[in-house]
Amino acid sequence: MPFRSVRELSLRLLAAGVVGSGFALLAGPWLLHQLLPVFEVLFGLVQPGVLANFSMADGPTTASLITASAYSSHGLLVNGHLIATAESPLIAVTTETAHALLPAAIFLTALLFWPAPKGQRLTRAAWGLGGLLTLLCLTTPFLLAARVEMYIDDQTLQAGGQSHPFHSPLLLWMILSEMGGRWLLSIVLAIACIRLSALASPPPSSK
Amino acid sequence: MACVYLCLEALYVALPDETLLSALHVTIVAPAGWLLGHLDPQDHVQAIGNRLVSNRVDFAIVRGCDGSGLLFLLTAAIIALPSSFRQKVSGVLLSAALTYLLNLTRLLALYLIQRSMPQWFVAAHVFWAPGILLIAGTLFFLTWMQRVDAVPLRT
Repeated sequence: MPFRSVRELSLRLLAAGVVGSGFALLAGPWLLHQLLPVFEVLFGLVQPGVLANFSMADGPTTASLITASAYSSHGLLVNGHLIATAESPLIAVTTETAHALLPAAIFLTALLFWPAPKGQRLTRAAWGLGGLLTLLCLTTPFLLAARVEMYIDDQTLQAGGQSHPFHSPLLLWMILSEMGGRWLLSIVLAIACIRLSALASPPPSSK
Repeated sequence: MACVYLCLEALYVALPDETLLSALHVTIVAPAGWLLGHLDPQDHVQAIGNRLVSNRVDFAIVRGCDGSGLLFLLTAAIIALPSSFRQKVSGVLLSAALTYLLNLTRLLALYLIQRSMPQWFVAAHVFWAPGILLIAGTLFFLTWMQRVDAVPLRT
């Protein structure tokens, strides 16, 4: 390991944590805002028949919220009961912006913590940006799509249908990621970016 | 590492709510209530089921609020690192103790924030507390990794 002592390691981790969290909190909301159209596309892909408009705004308290206002594109019929007509609103689900940004903070902390040789810094930054966008796209839209699925599941039960929440890959992904899986995902993606940037950079010339 | 993590997660998800909530009461809610009662007797904190209830705060501790995410990550990382069986066992036990103490501190801090600075509760709950726990856990793991005689992957 490229560290001389536990003290050096701790200081570097704390510094990376402060910079990573600061960057996630300062630049993250802007980045999330730019990604909202991508989230809408991803939502439509994982939740067929349901579309959503994503927006960001301050909530009733000081917390900033990401909202997905879901609507059924062709109407939603469950067990002969019409739950929603075409284009009519279904449900609005929210998550806190800070919640959405935690994986980004972990990812950036891990990326900054591990020393990058001089020749690898640019390639690591490039891979890091790709990793960060991937991470944000794999978490928030899936979480909100899964919450809409839970609502539809609930409506299905009320209409006398059968609910199979554990058969849904989307709900399983949500459970896994919300129980701490998104921490692991952040770390795994950061390690992948570090390895890929090392592979992509030419080895240092020996003089 | 990911396989171990997924197995632990699957076992945790399979745990029935009733069993988990009873365990949460005994291991987390009751000790937290006792500590808060001593920290601030005027609040009259009571541990009721999975909730900490006082004059000013009603605070529920649910699945996922028990530090399991951190413990599973540390356990998976310790098992994945090449080391002796004894070192792995001691590492996992130390992780469990550390996670428990960190999580109890987190709950006490969150309770106090909810009571005195409710406007900061969301940020503390969803961002700062998990981040700090993860940094503390990582520090523990890296320190442990430096101290164990790691079994070399290749000789």
